[in-house]
Amino acid sequence: MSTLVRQAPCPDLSAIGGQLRAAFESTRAALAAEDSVVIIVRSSDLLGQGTLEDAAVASGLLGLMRAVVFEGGAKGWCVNVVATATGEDPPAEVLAALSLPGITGQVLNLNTAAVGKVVP
Amino acid sequence: MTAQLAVITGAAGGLGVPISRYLGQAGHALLLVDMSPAVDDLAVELRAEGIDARSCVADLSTDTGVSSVADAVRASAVPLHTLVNNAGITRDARVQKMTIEQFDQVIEVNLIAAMRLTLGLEELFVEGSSVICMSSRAALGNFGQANYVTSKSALIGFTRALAQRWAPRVRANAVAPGLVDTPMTRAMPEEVLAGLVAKVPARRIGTSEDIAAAVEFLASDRASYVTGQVLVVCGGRSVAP
Repeated sequence: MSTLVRQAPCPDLSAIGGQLRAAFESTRAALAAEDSVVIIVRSSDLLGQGTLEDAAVASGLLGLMRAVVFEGGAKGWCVNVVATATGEDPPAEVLAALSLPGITGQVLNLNTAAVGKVVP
Repeated sequence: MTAQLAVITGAAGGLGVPISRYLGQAGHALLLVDMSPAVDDLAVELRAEGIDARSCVADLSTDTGVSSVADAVRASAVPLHTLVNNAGITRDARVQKMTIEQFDQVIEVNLIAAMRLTLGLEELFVEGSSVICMSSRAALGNFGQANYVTSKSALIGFTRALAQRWAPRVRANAVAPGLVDTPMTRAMPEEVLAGLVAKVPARRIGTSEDIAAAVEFLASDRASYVTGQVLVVCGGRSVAP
């Protein structure tokens, strides 16, 4: 099973840095342990439909995934983002699929309301 | 055009200077903001070119810094129309070598300070204003820049949310420059830079004017129906192999 990094509600500006830092630390600790990582965000936050703070965190987590995979994808680092309607965990089958070798650097949006919108 | 104020952060930096000059030449009055006192010299230089420019030395990581910018906007007596969140830093390191301080510093300067200033100026923006956040093509991924990529991607999220929250009074967009001729890229070994340029479909490095022109467009009424978007100015690099 992958290490799960979950977007948490961000109450204010002062909490953003801590949330992104915690995600960074969790992600690289998992990679050091040769574990795969799935980052779970709210789909609506990727489009900026919620608060400013939540939008920044969700998109920041997306960037974190891309930076990590850019650096370590070729050596097997497996990090993906799943966007769900409410930020709940995706089904176990989805998590299992996202820990398969070779699946990395992807954004899987499970919210049908995101169809027709910009791809973050 | 009726005088409208543009606030540019990081104005004394590599992209800040051409963006400021471009906006000034387009008729904006300027408030140049930077931590470096060099911004005062830039204001003098631009005034000599006939541009209405004033400066403000401020640390935007503090509430005091934001207040001093807001005070300078009010003191200008020119309606605030444009904010360019351009200030940014890099503290590059590989993922497993990056210190928490390096991560935090970049998030604070590139993201939190931009959000703090934008929100601190909220009541001063006039109808039809434009906020432009300087992101980066690196927001799509880059080597040794987990902190920078996170910050520039987060800035896009902030921009999208701001566009919806402040509509229709204020538009918000992001510009994501690719490889651009700046002091930083000029310091690269020639063969490294040539290798990077070879991956750009436009087959050249971007100029600071390329970026400034994109910013000026988004600030202008020509972009009055454009909000919540990211304009990637990278010579096609973001779609090339």
